[in-house]
Amino acid sequence: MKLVAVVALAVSLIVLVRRNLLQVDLSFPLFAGVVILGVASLSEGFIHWTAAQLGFIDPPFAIIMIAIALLLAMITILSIALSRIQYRQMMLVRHLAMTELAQRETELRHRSQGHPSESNPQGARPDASNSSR
Amino acid sequence: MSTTRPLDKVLVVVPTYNDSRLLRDISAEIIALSDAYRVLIVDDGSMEPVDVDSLPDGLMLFRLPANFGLGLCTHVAFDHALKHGYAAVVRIDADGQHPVQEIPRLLEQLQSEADLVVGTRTNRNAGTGLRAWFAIWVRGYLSWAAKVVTRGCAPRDVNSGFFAANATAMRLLNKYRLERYPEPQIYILSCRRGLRLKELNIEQRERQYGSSTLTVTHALRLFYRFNIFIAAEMLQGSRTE
Repeated sequence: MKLVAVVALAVSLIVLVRRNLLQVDLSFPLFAGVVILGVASLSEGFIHWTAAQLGFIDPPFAIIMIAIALLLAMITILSIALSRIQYRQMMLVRHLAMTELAQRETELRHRSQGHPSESNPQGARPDASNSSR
Repeated sequence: MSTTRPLDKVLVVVPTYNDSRLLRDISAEIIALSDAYRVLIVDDGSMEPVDVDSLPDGLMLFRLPANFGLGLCTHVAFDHALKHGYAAVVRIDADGQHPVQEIPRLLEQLQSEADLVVGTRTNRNAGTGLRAWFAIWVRGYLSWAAKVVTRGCAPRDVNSGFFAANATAMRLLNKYRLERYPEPQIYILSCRRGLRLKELNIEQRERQYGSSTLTVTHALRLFYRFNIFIAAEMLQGSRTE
């Protein structure tokens, strides 16, 4: 039964990655946790040894505590990954802003020098959510 | 630390988030002050985009694809100003409470041996009740902690979003990640990295409509961010890009 549960969890993770719901790099700590804890929990001897090392009287409680610790570690790893993504997103937005505003700056400079921009004499961009007056 | 250069080209940035009612008036007021001022409106992903047609001619508008906060708006302005040779950036809020007519005074101070000039509000009205008490207490704490960390260099009003920065300040601040409410971070970083900071007393205008968007939750998060920033700054200095 334990083995079936471990295999089912591992397969669920693979399905999530396969369907592009979970990025493969982010699934690694989860997959490693499932495999290591799952395989380790198959051995009664390992459970008793771990409980004795950690000072738990009730062996299954040791596994629960390890699982919680691993979950906290994974949440931290995922938060770091999310923060990195947000910072990268911000860098991209800054780059986008520089590109779009440079175009507008050129238009305004041309207008102030008396020759309107060839592409857009009015300085207005018809499409844009990012537009200028 | 830096040489003073004439402020012949100044970028006035107005960040806005769901608050575009006064943009037209504020922009027109700024443009009327001097030909040297160019207005950049940064729409921080408002629910309803700023109506371009309602704005005066000759200004720039950039709309962020989502709501990223004031830190990114400030970076966008600094990036553009540095790339296109602006001598200074002035930041002013879109709610109409900052006195536009004080911009020349802010810039005057910037030319007299300063890299960053902060408009310190002398008539802030916290209102009444528990919320007002909380706001006064938080402001007092932020001001005190900033003074301690910067050995007295930080301005009294560390939450003022009305400031002018020259190219030296912009270059330095662009090396760091400015957070969602970046004002205390900007002033503390500036002081601790050796920029010359001055403050100028200003009279805040009456709010013309609505109320402050700073809720208790926002205030708690601001308080948390500030303390984490201070702790990080004390430990090892802020992260750079």
